[in-house]
Amino acid sequence: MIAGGRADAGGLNPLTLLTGAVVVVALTLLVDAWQFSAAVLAAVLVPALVLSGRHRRILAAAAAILLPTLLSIALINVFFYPEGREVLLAAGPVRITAEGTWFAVAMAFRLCVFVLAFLIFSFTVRAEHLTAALVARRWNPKAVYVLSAALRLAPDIASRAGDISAAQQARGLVIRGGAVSRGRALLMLLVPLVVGLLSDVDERARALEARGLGLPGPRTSLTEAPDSPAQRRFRRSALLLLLLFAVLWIGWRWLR
Amino acid sequence: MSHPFAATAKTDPAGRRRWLNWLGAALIVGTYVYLIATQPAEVAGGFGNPAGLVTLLGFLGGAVLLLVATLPALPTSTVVLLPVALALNVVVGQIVGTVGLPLYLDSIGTVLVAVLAGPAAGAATGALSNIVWALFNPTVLPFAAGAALIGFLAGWAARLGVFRRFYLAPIVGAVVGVFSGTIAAPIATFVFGGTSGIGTGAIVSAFRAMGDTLLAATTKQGLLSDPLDKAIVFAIVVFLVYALPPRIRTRFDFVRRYRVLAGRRSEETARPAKTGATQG
Repeated sequence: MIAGGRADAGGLNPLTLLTGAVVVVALTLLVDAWQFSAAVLAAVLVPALVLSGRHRRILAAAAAILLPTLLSIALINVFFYPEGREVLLAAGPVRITAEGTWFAVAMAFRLCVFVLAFLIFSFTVRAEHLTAALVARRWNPKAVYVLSAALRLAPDIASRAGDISAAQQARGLVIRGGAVSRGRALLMLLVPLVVGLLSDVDERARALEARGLGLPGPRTSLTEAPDSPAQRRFRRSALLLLLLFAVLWIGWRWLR
Repeated sequence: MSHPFAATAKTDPAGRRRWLNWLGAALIVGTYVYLIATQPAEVAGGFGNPAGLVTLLGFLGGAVLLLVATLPALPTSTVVLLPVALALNVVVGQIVGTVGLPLYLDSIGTVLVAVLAGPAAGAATGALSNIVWALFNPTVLPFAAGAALIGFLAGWAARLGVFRRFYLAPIVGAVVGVFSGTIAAPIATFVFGGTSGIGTGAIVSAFRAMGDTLLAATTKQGLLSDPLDKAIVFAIVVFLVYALPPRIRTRFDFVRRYRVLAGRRSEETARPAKTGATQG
């Protein structure tokens, strides 16, 4: 995963991967037909998943996100779709309509493309390559710092939260039970966590200020993201073609 | 604590940033108005329409413009707060997301930064936190504009003195929730065709069964869940900021300048040089 950063994207620049994900998602949202979404899923994302070499972890993460969302979409649209005319089954307030079912299918395929395309990006890219690519693109150093620091801090904070929770339980805090005791447990976790984190912040601010984070001008990165003229051409032409297609597609729908 | 060469850092003209800020806000509001105005045709009309892409581009683009406008102007002492708040949002949001309640509690870090460092910092935290979280869970990406709005409103609430009283914070939190619930509804509708959880999905289904449009149903669900969620978040944050040692909470210029917290006199006189502008 991006935070662990041990994957090698096979010499691909993070921005090339991101461009690919953006183009796939934008096209799917633009065309908005389940046949197209399914084709993208089968022809682009499944091969990309296999090539990434981390399909197990990506699929596990995708399933955790997609299952509740897909269930919610099915619950809402298959059973309750007041606009639907073609009723397949009606029982009490529940009306299964053909229109609602197709709407749910279209949304489900679209969502799968959306989630998988971005997860493949974030699971194959290396955090330090992403930072280096953004520095090379002359992004604001503060933005780059926030982005990379957050990615490194998230696992640290999660483990710190685990430690605090264990310590509180060791001195007799009960986490199970009703909403009140759960809420109390959350506060017992949050207060020491936030106090600890905020006292670290001051030290970090001094260190960064002393190293000139607020100064203007370009930065050089210690690591360099892999890149090639071919990839640069791909990124530029893919985005241009996407724009062209969007204009033509919307124009065509307008005229029809 | 400024760097000897920091004087040259002011190459970013404030006028351009203000312009970008307005542009970002206008893009978000414009997208919302467009979606509300064209809504009946878009959902019932079925497939092949760009409503999903318009929603994503409008809200995400607006949030990115707000970021470009606010982030470079923040002082280093605030910038270092952001990653901590971001990670806090994600970690707590992930923990709560797995419980199955129709709550999110994923804006504790955002509101905390807004209270300590002001509306601009709050908005930047909200927008960035959804962008970073999207690396683990892409479905939160389109909600970046709503998260920025929460941070911005929380910052203004803090500036107006809401956090000086314990009981005011949850009330104002609920009001902020009305705004964030309203702005999130078109995203749930046009990008996802529903909600991201089963608890919230059941609520939307109930409104749909009564014959509401999908947008109306998700808006009502947002108006049920969000005010409660934000009231809890604001209550937690007010608890957190008063639990902070005075050494930490008086360090923030915004807190001192607008007398954000009900301070004991001794705390404020501890830094006599900076207590001149206590009344905002």
